[in-house]
Amino acid sequence: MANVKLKQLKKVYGKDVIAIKGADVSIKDKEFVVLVGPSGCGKSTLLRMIAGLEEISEGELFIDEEKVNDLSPKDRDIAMVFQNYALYPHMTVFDNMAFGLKLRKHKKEDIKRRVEEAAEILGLSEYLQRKPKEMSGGQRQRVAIGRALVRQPKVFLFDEPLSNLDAKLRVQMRIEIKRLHKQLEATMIYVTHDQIEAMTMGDKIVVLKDGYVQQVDSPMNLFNNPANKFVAGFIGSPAMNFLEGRIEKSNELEFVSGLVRFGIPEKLGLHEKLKPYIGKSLIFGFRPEYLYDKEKENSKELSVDMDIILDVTEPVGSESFNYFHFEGQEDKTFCFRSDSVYQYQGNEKIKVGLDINRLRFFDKKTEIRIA
Amino acid sequence: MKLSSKQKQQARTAYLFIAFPLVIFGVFTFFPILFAFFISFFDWNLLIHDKPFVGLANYFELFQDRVFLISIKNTIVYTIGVVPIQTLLALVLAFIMNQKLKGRAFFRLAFYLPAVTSSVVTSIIFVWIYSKPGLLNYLLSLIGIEGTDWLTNPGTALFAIMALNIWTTSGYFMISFLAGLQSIPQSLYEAAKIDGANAWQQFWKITVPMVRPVTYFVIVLGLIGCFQVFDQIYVMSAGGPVNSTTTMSYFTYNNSFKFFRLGYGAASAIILAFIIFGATWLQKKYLPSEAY
Repeated sequence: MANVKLKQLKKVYGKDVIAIKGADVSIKDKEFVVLVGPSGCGKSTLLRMIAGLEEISEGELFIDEEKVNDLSPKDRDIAMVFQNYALYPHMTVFDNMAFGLKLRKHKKEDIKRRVEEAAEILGLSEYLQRKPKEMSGGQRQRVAIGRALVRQPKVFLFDEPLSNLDAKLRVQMRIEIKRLHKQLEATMIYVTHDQIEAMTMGDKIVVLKDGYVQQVDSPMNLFNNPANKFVAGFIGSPAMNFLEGRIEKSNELEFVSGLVRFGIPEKLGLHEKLKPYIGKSLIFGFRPEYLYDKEKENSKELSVDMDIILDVTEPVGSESFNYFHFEGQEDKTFCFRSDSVYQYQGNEKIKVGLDINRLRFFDKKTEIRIA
Repeated sequence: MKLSSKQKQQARTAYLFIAFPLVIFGVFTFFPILFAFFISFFDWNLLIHDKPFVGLANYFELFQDRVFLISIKNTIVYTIGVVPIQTLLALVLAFIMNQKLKGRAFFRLAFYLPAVTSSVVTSIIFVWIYSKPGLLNYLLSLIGIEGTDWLTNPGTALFAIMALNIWTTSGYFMISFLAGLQSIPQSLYEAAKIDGANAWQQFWKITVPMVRPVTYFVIVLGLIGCFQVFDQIYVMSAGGPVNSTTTMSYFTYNNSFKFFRLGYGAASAIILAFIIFGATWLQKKYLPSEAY
């Protein structure tokens, strides 16, 4: 197993289409790293550069201290699982899994042993003689994983492997891949556009946008301490709410946006960072889960009352997502998450408070987090 | 089953729609086939009024006719020589044309051009190329080889025509393979690359099996085309020299329209039809078209 190091990796298509604008990521041995971002952010390109399927335009890529920029995919000792499985349709499951080993001239008994072991782990033992078309999507995905498994590579690469599966199967396979990671103690790099997949699977998450690495951090750190507005909005579901306003100073600092106004207590330690913004516009971010109905929640340290008007309520079972607007700001919709035992109705007016320990502020222009 | 008046009305309309092609097909395809089968049992000479029924006599005579036996041999040699080479060449050309090469469109056109050119025209061009003072011999002379007169030499005439046919048809079949190649997902090649396959292994282990349905189609059409080869023979060698290029179609033509022995010619055409049928059946049995 191996470390992977990306040093200022760049990908340029043609003359001026820059897909990856200098990625620095360090992946430790046995780590499960997820590359996540919206479509077109360059996450798959980055993975394919690691695989050797895309040329590296600039920068250096190391696998275990060895620079592999110019090595062909087969010499990098990596295995990859593709989104559409990329199984060889004319070969049986056994042959699909054995193909790489055969090409590498492994002994017959060795191939058989490895394929059977992998099939056992993935529950494919009884399907070894089937062709891919005789199998379901989930089974095919297992074969694709098996094909990577038998090779015992230094690094496993996954390119959106679950996006062709239905929701239930996706959750199941997610857990299986995670279990496999524990069992194999392998370095895995996983691409997805689904932030829930990223949060639940990754030891470390690399958030990308427009070819730039936005932040590299643990899932909880990304959630609690996003580096900028993009990461804050991308990680977490439903997404973080953003409200534009300004900082005013009376007795203490206050955030003001229309009729919304609340004080920012000094003890939070945000004053130093917010002072330069007094009288200026900035963006306030708050997660749907950190807004509470004042009548129902009193254990938290909440801000002053704010009046909100509920527009639509989406019950999803254990909880509800309630979409609302602040009084006087009919054109902006925000989300607030509540326990589904509170059955709110549309057009209801309620008093809420913000958990003041969870206030986040972003620069309006650079979108970098201020506090 | 009794049809309601509305259903009857619909059926009448449907028949009206297919009536025209049905008549064309019937008159120019079904009827001639049946009629040829019918007259193969008669001594049917265009110039003689009397056309007596002779039973299988035409067929018996065919198998004692030295020229007919030669024509079978020539046809088989021709087919065995042309089909595998043209198929392989078409696949290789398609594979190359499927790469991102400069001038790809030009080469695709260049290879396909012979297929859309009249076979008579290409044949006449090749008569010149193959002649004693022709282009081929000129090129050979550059490397110090003295060529022969390719089309009047019984040892080379058939092979010369075979080469021409390979050249004209492989471009045509290249298009079929190209379509097949383009339907192979790129990710299969990427997976194979990561699995450790080099270019040759990718071609042999991925491309060839993946285009099998197209290969089947190309071989069937190739076989039928070769068994029926006529126009190049007619233009370039007229079956000669000394019957070295007489194929079954040309034999049929000679007997039917030169010697006016239509019954005899029809019998040879029926035998050719059976051979083609048999060859296609064998191919279906041993090289199934199974798609993945």
